[in-house]
Amino acid sequence: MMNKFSLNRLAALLFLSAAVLFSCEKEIDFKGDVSEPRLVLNALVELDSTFRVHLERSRFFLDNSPQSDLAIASGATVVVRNLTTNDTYEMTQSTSGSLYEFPFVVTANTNYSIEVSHPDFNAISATTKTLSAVPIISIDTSSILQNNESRLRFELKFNDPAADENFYLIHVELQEVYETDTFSYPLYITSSDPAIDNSGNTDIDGSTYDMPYLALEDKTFNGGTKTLVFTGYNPFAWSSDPSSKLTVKLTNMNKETFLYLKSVNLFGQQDIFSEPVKIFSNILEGFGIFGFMSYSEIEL
Amino acid sequence: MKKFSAMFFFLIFGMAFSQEKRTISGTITEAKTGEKVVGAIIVDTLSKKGVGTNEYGFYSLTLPNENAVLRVSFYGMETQFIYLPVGSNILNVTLDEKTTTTSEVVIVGNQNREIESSNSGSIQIQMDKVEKLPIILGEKDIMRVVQLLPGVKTGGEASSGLYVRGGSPDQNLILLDGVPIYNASHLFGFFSTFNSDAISGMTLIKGGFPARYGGRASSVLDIRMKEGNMKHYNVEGSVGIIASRIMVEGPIKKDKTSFAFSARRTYIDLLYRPFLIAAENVDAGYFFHDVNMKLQHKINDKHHLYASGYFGLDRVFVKERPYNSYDADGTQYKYQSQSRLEWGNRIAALRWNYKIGPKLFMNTTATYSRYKFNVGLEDRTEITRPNQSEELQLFSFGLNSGIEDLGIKSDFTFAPNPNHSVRFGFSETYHTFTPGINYFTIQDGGTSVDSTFGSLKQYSHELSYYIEDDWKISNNIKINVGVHGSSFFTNGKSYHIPQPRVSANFKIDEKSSIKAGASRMAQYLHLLTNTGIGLPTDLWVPATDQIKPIDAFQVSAGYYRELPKNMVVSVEGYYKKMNNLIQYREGVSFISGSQDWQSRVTAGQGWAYGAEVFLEKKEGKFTGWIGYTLSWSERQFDELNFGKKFFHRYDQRHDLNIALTYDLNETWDFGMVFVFGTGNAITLPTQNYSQAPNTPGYSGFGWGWSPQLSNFDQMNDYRVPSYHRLDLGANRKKDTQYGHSVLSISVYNVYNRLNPFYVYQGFNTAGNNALMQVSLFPIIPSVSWKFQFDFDKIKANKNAKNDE
Repeated sequence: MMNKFSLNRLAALLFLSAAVLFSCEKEIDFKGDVSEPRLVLNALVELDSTFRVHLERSRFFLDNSPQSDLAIASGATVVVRNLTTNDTYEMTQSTSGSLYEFPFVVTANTNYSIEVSHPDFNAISATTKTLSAVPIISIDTSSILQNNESRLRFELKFNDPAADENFYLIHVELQEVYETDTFSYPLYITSSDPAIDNSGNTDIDGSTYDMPYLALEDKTFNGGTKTLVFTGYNPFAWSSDPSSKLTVKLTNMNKETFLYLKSVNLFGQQDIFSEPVKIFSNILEGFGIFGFMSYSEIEL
Repeated sequence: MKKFSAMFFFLIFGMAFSQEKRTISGTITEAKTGEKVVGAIIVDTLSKKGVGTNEYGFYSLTLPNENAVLRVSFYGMETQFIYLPVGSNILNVTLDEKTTTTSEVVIVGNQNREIESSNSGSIQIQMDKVEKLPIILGEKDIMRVVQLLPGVKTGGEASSGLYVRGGSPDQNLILLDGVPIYNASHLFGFFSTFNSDAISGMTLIKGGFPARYGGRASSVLDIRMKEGNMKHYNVEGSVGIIASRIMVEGPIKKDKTSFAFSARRTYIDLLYRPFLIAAENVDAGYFFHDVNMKLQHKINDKHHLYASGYFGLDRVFVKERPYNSYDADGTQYKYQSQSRLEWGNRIAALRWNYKIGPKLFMNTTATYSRYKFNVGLEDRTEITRPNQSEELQLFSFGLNSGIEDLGIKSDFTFAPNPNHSVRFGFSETYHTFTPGINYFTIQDGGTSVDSTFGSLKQYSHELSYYIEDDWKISNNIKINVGVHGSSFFTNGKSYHIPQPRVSANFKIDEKSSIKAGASRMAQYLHLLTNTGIGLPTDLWVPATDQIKPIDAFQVSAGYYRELPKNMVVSVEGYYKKMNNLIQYREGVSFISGSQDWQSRVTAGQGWAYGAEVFLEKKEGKFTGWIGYTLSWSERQFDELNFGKKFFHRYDQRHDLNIALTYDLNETWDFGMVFVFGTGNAITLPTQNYSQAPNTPGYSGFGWGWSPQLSNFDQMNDYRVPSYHRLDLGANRKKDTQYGHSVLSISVYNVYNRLNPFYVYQGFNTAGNNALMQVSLFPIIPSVSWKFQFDFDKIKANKNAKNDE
């Protein structure tokens, strides 16, 4: 028979043994091949804005060099060609840091190419095509009650150009003033429109949750007038601060920009169990993106 | 295919009546317990014809109509020779245990001679031998022993999942008394759901699948529960570091009805909860328990009934004890909250064995299997205002998901003559899938909202039918040929997949043979997971019109040879192709849910090929095995890795397992396990670079934006450090006045190797980018104590005392 003393000893033994079970974390050596850095070109050019290119180098993923060391301000030759007019522009020195700002304005329906050479890296190149502007025709709002929650209903209308393959992003920005400071943040929105492409806005239970933006492509309404209905939390339901204002923004993109945004978004949502995300890039022999965007916005 | 099956069937039946013969039939049981002996060999020493017992202990041997002398044998049992004159055709035999110590040292292996069986890639494991190997935290775990066999890999540290010949854990058909188990792990995969005290034996089939098995693509693990001692009462149990167990079995009516009951529970929570409640006013903990039950009743020599059940549950809970606060006006607020996470399996089987005739045996089983996962939380505030009625504010939320099966199956064994053993049967399973149903209650004073929403339940029927023949063509050639057909009906879509199976044994000489097999396997269920850990949140989903069933084809061939000193060596190669595998798309994991799970996965294909070497010593003081596997496992998905092939995460080029036991004397035995495996394949970035500064949403506009992006060249092209460890154990057996006891001491991971659980790109203590490894188990010593009451001994001691 087990007496009290031996029971105590058993309890102590059990505790000691349980304490041994723990997880531990340590740094380990990387035993693979260390890859060589490449040129990184980021140029999401915007309609009617100057042609802006950011040039950096990539770094090995365990490299700890500071971010500021990555910018390539000199030593590279950046050549931009307007393939529609055959105009060529060249810069060998950055405007500031990694930024190369060319002295011309981005025009619609134009093919551009970029070539970058640098003695320490493989030369890189990319092409893209700009699109026509897509202005917002109208935006109507109303207040509705949904699941006992006060929400704003938006009805956004715009014309989609028939000749282009367009991709859109819709944001609603809420601006509020506290004392003397102005704060801007996104109003989270959702839509049941079948054209919406947002991955991840439907929960496992079938309920949808609000997103900071909505993304869609023009496959189902190419060349027509699109009316998109979406809803979001009503920031004016509980207070009617006269200084608060909403701005609805429509971003029009070409395919390269859309694929890049989509992959960047997935990349940022990764957890340790996710399948790895390959970031879309149209830069040959390098990393980054050469794409196009145009904006239209209405303040409510 | 139908025409072929019918011809095959009539050919076999025709053989049964073509000559004047006698058919001897019966069952073989253990004398001590009355349990059926599976795989016992019955040979007529005059005609040299022989058969083995099936999984219900039944045999049927058709011989020329002459006198016979039967030899009945089984490893660890005394062989019996029985003279059976013409006219006497029923023979039930009870075998006694061998009394010599060498009889106990069979560790792993077919009861039939390995070189004679036509099934390649099939291994039987004897439970009494599992106890001799070192254990972790005092818990014997049969799944960890299975992981030591060639061709079977672990997912890594702390995983009881099986990756058999390049397959994934969901591709293993794990049967407990013929009923499928969907989640075979406790404690997030650390331990299996199987209480080894309740298990009588198991068989792993990883290639050359007989036609009677179906429904999974990679392996079958057929586990049988103890039936219950028909002769004597037996009580045994053990006390370990984290859990204790008890097992009781015995006759309700001797030789007629018996029962077996076993249970275990972890108790770490019981020890720390009182301290937690006292210190933090919070009751929290984790435990698992499981219960196995079995009843058998022998109606007569022809009819036998069995009822068995398994109930297992894991629960994590946090319960905040009520506490009060008061407003200045005297209003009292009483707060209370609780949350829980629980999961578990429940299975039940009702089995009827019917010996229809001397050549025909039937087993019909009604089955029920349920795996359920629940998560729930509740926040409650009771508000008592002065001179007013009490007001309740309540928020509760829950999620249920799981799978439930109801099934019936009938299996027939027909032995027309000693050269043929035919099995045929059918089964129907009604699956109910619950991908995730939420419910919530909100009550605020007099206002109350109750709601249930979520994915609808999905219902499917799975029908299967098979016929196979174990055919001895000549003294040197045996084949097992058959076909398994299955149909799956779900949401208006149906699939029908015929699955031919064949395996053959060519005996080169008395010591060696060559075996080969080919089989097609279909699987209509998919498991949504990408952790490899075996989390309870892993979701079973059916094949649909968009997601097709897994369709696998495997060929294998091997050379088997018996060596001196009771050793057997085998070398076997295999090639497996798997179609319609699913995997989460880029960036998606089990954490990100969706109503339409189909949109989150992508379908692809897989290849697995390799060679396994297995050297086993079955008898003697020093026994054990060495298993080595050289293998490749690859995947290809159009939407992953640019459509290019990549290595599966659990692709292990080299896998070495050594399991040895040594019986020093009748008191002491020792065990040793050494494991080595190439590290898992993971994806690491090659280069990091900046995101475009004017990316919409870059500066806080939304989520999911990251200033630093990473590039990877290939999926799973980096290997984490290899896995290896050494475990040692010793058992001290002691006879006591009440029975027997065994004190087991073991040390897991003797040289304290920190094996990788996972590896990731993170930051070291200096805040620099670094490759970080998380490990789980350092060196872990443990001790457990097992006891067994011997009622005959107690009675004898009592009588001796009375005599004095």
